Amino acid sequence: MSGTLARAALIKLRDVTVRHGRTVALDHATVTVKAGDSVAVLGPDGAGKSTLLRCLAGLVRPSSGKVESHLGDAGIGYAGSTFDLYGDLTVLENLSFFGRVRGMEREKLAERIEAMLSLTNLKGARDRLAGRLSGGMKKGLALGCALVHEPALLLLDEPTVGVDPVSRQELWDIIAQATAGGTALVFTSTYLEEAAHASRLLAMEHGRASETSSDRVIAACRDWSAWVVPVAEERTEVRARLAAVTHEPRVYLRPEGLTVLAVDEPGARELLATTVGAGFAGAALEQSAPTFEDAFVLLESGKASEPAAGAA
Amino acid sequence: MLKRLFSIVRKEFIQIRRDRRTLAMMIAIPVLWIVIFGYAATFDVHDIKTVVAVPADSPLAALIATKLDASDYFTVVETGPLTDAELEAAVNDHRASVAIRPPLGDQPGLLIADGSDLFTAQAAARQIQSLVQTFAQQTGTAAYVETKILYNSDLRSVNYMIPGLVGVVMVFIATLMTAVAIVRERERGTLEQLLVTPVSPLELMLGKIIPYMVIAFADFLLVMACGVWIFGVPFAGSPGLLMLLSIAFLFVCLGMGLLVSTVSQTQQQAMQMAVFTLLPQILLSGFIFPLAAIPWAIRWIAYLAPLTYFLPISRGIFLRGEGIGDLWIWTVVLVGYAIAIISLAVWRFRRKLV
Repeated sequence: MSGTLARAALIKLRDVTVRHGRTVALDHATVTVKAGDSVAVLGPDGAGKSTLLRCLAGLVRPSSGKVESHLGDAGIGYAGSTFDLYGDLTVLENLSFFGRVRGMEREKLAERIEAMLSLTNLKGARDRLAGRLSGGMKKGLALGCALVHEPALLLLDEPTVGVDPVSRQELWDIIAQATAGGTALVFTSTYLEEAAHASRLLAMEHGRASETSSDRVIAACRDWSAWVVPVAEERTEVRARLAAVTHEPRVYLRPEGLTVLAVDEPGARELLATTVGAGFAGAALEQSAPTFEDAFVLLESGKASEPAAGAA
Repeated sequence: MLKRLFSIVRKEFIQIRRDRRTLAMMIAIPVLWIVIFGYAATFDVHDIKTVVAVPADSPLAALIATKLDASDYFTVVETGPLTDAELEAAVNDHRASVAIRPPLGDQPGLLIADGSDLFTAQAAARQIQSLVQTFAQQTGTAAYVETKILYNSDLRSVNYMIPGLVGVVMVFIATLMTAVAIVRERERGTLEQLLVTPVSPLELMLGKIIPYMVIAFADFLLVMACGVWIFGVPFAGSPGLLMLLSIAFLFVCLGMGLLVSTVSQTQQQAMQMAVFTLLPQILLSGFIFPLAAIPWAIRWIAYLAPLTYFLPISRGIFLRGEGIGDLWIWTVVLVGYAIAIISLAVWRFRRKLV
């Protein structure tokens, strides 16, 4: 990170707060994005990730604090979490429009459109209406439109949401290629593994942003698993039992079932026995990868730094 | 089945209750219909401004003038020993809608009416003929009145409607389409994409309204051409002047569309709001029902509608061949309206952007 100091700041949020009525969507956020940065804004739904990104894009006026932009003519490329291009224009027309509207010269635009069509694998779909593309292709086109003018800063709001795993990897390849030239990238995500695509990590919770290292978050759950007991009809009973015992954040209910964060299966069973009772400790357990929220639970409960060996 | 049905009905009511604008519209529109069709939608013109020729030596003519003034239908604004030319000038100069020379002795009477104000002319002719017929029966004479209609001599409805329709078309296209087009951009999320580009609010606004301005103006020309060449509506004035003043009117309509877009979140709301502003314009401006027939308790609404100021311009140029000297008052009002509404709309549009 020492090299970051020498690089120019593209945009700074200084103590920015955004309120929507009585809700504080962004709470005194101070963030600096420099040339070449790759920042993942991670956090659960409603944490304020999109508001932070929209603030950087100039789409939200801060209730207090300051946004300092040093982007100059290169500007921003922005792609929202939903499809926000013209569905009744073709792929080519969308790319052309977003280039022209940024004042690009005809030859340069033609060259960039071809580059974007190649980059996003949309050459064969150039004359198709954008509204009729598949989910992955729409995301690709959104990226193309955001990148066509070679922005200094690329802002992507949940770039892979609603996309199948294969297309998701393809999209990350495109993003990596597109930003290889030094374009700074800020993206939001709820997928922990996507933090690996960033050099900096901004963790968000209840509108507050705190800088952490992606290595730290990923490492937090490297040796951990989420063990799930499918719970269908006894949810109310389980919830009542969880409420009755001492607060243990590593045991909680999620839609798939009762979830325990533990290093191994015996550890999971032991934790289940001490919290919700021996009855659940004997149930069949399904192992799955920890989510982003799980990583934070581990970090906040101080368990992440425990040695990998042994039970919880 | 009833349980499922009830759950859908209940859900609909919850959604209706939460959509305050639609709810307000559903209450306001029936009230508006009741007011318009109960009070304003009538062809019975009252208080027609009338000039009566009363020779100094004719107490009978003076009596007729008094009787006309006492009736609901006429308001006598001028009397005196006027010649036929002076009577016609009174109608030409808009001092009166009709001018009357009562029948005296063997000489038939004369009614001069402005055919560009179709329903007023028809109502005046009907009432005068009826009054004279009664008078003739009472006095046992053969008194009758000759009628002279200026500008739309055969009182063709189409001559009255087409010059009005050119305005209605512009109101409809410019207001409704502009409002919906801007809200669509916001609703689909594409507005955000535009806002991260260097496009300024002014460029964005102009870029959105110019296409509809061009289309509305093309529609205006189409209706005008069809009126003249297919329906044979006479065009007595300057086409250039009508086009110029139509552009001022078009700005008002676009401003209204822009304003509607700033208070609507969805295309459906924009459509509802636009229709809410269009209805009073079409029904109260004098396009269908004569303005003079609308009671003052409601007529003030008509004066909020820009179409009310455009119709005298359009009909004046089409049928009466009027120039800017005759139409300057309407023009000033329309230009003032355009400046006010565009300023308000631009201010709100900028505020709503981010």
